[in-house]
Parts: sequence; C-alpha cells; structure tokens
Amino acid sequence: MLGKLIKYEFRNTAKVMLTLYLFTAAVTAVGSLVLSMDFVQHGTGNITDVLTIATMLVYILAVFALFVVTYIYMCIHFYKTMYSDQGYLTHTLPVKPLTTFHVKLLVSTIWILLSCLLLIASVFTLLIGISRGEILAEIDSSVFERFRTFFGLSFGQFLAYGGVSVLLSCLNYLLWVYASMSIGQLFGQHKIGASIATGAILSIISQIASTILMVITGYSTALLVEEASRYSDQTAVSIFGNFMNSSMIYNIIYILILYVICNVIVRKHINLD
Amino acid sequence: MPWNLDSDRPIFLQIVERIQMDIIAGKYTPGDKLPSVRDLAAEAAVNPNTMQKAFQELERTGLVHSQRTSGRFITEDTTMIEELKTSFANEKIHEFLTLMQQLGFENEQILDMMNRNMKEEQA
Amino acid sequence: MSTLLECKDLTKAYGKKPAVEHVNLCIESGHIIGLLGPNGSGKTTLIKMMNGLLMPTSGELYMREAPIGVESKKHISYLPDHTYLNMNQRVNDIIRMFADFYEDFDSLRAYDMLAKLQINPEDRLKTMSKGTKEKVQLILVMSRRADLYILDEPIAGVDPAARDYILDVILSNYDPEASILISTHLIADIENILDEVIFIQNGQIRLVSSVDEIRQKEGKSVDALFREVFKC
Repeated sequence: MLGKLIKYEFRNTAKVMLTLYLFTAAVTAVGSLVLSMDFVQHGTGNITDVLTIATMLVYILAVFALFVVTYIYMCIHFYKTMYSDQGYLTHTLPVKPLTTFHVKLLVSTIWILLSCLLLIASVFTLLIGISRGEILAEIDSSVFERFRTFFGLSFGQFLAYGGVSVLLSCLNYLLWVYASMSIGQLFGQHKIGASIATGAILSIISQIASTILMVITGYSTALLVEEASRYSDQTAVSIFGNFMNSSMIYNIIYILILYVICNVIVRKHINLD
Repeated sequence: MPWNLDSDRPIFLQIVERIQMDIIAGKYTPGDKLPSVRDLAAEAAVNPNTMQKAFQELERTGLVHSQRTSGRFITEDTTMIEELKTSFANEKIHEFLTLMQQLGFENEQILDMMNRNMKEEQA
Repeated sequence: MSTLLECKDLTKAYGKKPAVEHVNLCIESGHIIGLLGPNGSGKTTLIKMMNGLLMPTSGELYMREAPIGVESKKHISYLPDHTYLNMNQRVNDIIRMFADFYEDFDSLRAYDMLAKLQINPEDRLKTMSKGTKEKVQLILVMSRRADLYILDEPIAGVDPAARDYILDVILSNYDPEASILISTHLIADIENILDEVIFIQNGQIRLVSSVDEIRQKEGKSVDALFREVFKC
C-alpha cells in the first residue's frame, strides 16, 4: 500500500512539477545563451545593457517562480487532497490517515529538494554561459582547496551542512503550512480563513520563541555581529557555526512540535465538511 | 419497466398477486421455470429480499415449487390452477356485487344489465 | 445474516449544537436500508462518521466488531453526496486507481456499465455533465464487491430516467450477502427497493422498521408515514 500511495502521489503531482522544471530549464538555456553572446559580453551601449539586465531579471524571476510555485503548489495539493472534497476519496482508501500524511510530506520534500538541485544546476549553467565555458576549466584538483580557503569549510562539510539546513527549512515550511491547515480544518466554517490565521499565529509564536531562545543562548544577532568584528575571520566563522548549530537545534524542535500537531490531528481529528 | 405497485399495501403481497395473475392468465404455463429472484426483482424494480419473500409465499401455497439447483417452477397440478382461477373469479364477482348493491341495484336488475351488456359486446 | 455496522450511543456535536445525538443502530447484512430524514436531520453527519471522515464527539462505532479504520474501509463502499474525484483525471485512470487500492474492485464490471451508458473511459471528468459525473461515481462505487454500500443522496437532483438507471444499477449489482444504506429525502422514488427504513430527525432516530411492516400496520406507504411524522 505504501508503495502504491507514493506512486500515485508522484503521478498526481508530476504533471505540474515537470512542466515547471521544463520551463526553468528553458529559461536557463536561453539566459545562458544570451549572456554568452559576443555583443552582450563586449558590446557597449543601451541595447546591450537593456538586454543583459532584462535577461538577468527574467532569469531571477523564473528561479524565484520555481520555488514559489513548487511550495505553493505543494501546499494547495495538500489541502485539496486532505481536507477538501478530494479528501473524501483520500480518507476512504484503506490506508491509515497518518500513512497518507507521511507520504504527502515525503513526496513534497522530494519535489522541493529536486527544485533546489535544479536551481544549483541552473545557476551553474548560467555561469558557464557567462564565462563562456571558462569556469569548467577552473575545476581541477585544487578546487576543493580553494573552496576551503574561501568559505572556511571543506566541500564535504559544506554539502552536509547545506543539505541538512535545506532539508530542515524545507520541513519547517511544509509542516508550518500542514499544521496550520490541519488546525484550520477543525473549525466548522471558514476553514481556509482559519488556516491562514493559524499560520500567522504559529509564525508569530515561533518568532517570539526563537528570539527568546537566541537571547538565552547568548547568540542574539547583535552579539554575533559585535563578536564577529572583534575577532579574526577564523573565529567569526566558528561563531557563525555555533549560531547555525543553535538555530538548527531550534529548527528541529519547532519541526517536531509542528509534526506532533499534524500527527495528532490527522490520526484523531479529521473533520471534513 | 418497473411494475405498478400500490403504495399502501405490503409490496410482497402485491407481487404474489401479480404472479398468481400471470399464472391464471396463462403467461406462465404449468411446469414453466420462473425467472430468478434477482432478474425479476430488477425487472420489477423492487428489493430482491421482497421478491424472495413473495416467492416463499408462493411456494407455501404450493403454486410454485423449487428444485434445489435448477430454480423455481410453476406447479404442474392444473386442478390447483383451475381452483385458483375459480376462487379469484368468485372474489371479483363478490366485489362487483357488493359495489352494485351499494349503488342500490337489485339482483334482478343486475342480471338484466349484465345480459344486455354481454349482448352488446358480442354484436 | 450477521451484524455489519453498529452505532453505540453515537453523538457528534459542533460546538454545543448536536448534529447526531445518542444514536444506537445496528445494520445487518442482506438488506437495503433507507436512511430517511429531512434536510439537516443528521443523515450526512452520521454517514461521514461511518466512513471515518468525521470523528464522533462521543459514543462508539464498529464495523464487524472492529472500530472504523483501515479494515472497515476495505469493506465499505461509499458514495458521498457531492463530487469528490480529481476532475482532471480520465475515467480509466480512476478505475485503475480504484483497482489498485480496493481489493474488491471489479474493473470489468465498471467498464461494462460505462459501455452501457456510452461513456468513453478516455474522457476526463471535467468534460462531463454533472449528471454523467454522478453516474461515473455511482458506477465506481457499485463496482466494488463490498459488504456495505453507503450511498448518500444518490438520486437527489436527477431526472426520472436517470433515477431509474441508478436504481437499476443498485439492484443489479446487489449481492444478497451485502447491505446497502441509502440516505435520501425523496422516499417515494426509492420506496420499492427498500426493505428497511430508519427515520432520523434532529439527529435522533425516530423509527426503525421494515417497509412491509409499516404498510401492514399503518396501511400507508412509507412516504405517507414520513410526511406525517415530519409534518412541519
């Protein structure tokens, strides 16, 4: 059953997502091509400027859209299939509601991570275009060493760190909306309004809690900046690292709380109109 | 085509009457196989359980008998069908006479009118 | 005959207002049962609890002596009172999905009924008329070989020809071991196919009886009795 659920969840979301990816790929290809052209790179004058700026603008908008659309589509899809008319089908399938919920969370996370990978690939392609392929020549055995001196982290560390942060914020944003919608559907009327209000309230609570937590752990932003300016670069990086750690721990706690809210409601309090 | 059924009498009784009528009128001949409960229920647009109940009632009176595997059959006892026919006719005549008496006709008058009507129909 | 579904002191309240109140009910196998009540009497609320779409405020609900859950959903085939499928899907995609998830789904039966109605399985739901969509949903629900079919207002708002078709689908797919619970406020239309009725009013059960019993005792149709009981 689990396999079937995952299969259908992917199948039902694939059309929109693949269209979106195709669109991003097309914009990237065109952008990379335009920016690599001779008269764009060496030309002067208004037309060149306008073309460069317009290309960059369209590109940035497209990448932005990639994320916004992925995220919003995942949220709408979740609401539609869990708590609106289609929920009647979802919740009468012979599957535990919690399993359905996990599958939706998993598939949405995978799509968002895929969007991230696509973004990295896209930026890289654009850089290849701008540098006319020279960036590829730059990649040699010393690239990791240079990376380390530049960021103060090894490439592996950076990947692990980046990967975990992206995963956490992805879960954070998804569960924030899922929890808001799950609480919202408990209301007899105006479920969508209640979901939005819940989302706002949850966000405010989390802001307050995170601020308090930051102050307590002594890594408030002000402190960080002050500390950072006082010490050498190397120490700044390690303070930055600590800050990241404590914010990660906070993030994990927040995610767990949101998950527990979803878990309890999905298991025991489904309340379809 | 759903059967026309009255809304104020038990449905199974009306089905019993209808099938009896079909037997008397010769729509089913002695020894004929009856349609299955399911098919007849679908034809009449009634609940199969009700049809089943009607069949059981018909079996109880002996007009229909079931053979375990091959289905239900109309009785081959023609005297029984004749008896049913006669009793049905008597019932209808009784109803008719009661109505005519209510209208205030004497037996003589009724007979007279009957004869005249029958002659007209023949002509 | 065995007990399929059992409600024990079932209550659902929205805030302080009860929609279903202290309902005790037993649904046996082998019956076609009408759940009859005026609009807003709690029919849909009761049905949604039976399908696990709404959690009771108090009381218990069992399908074959087990609480509502994965096992009950395998054996209950449910037709909601509105469209609930993804309108972008083609009929054959939905059939494939039903066959994948419900072990008791009979695809051949579904295709057969679609063919009789000349509905193209390649068509997407959104291109169909409201009536056709409803028929597709009924076909899907009746193509399962379930123990209990729960049909919420299957004949509301359809023309007489469609109504006859729907009743025909219900009767010709009915397996004597199964039960069908049909909720409606249009009693005269389906009275002949019912063998039992449940009257519900203001969330409470008013009467449980067999149709023939009502006709024999009261000398009137269920429809007439209903009009009398629920007279405004």
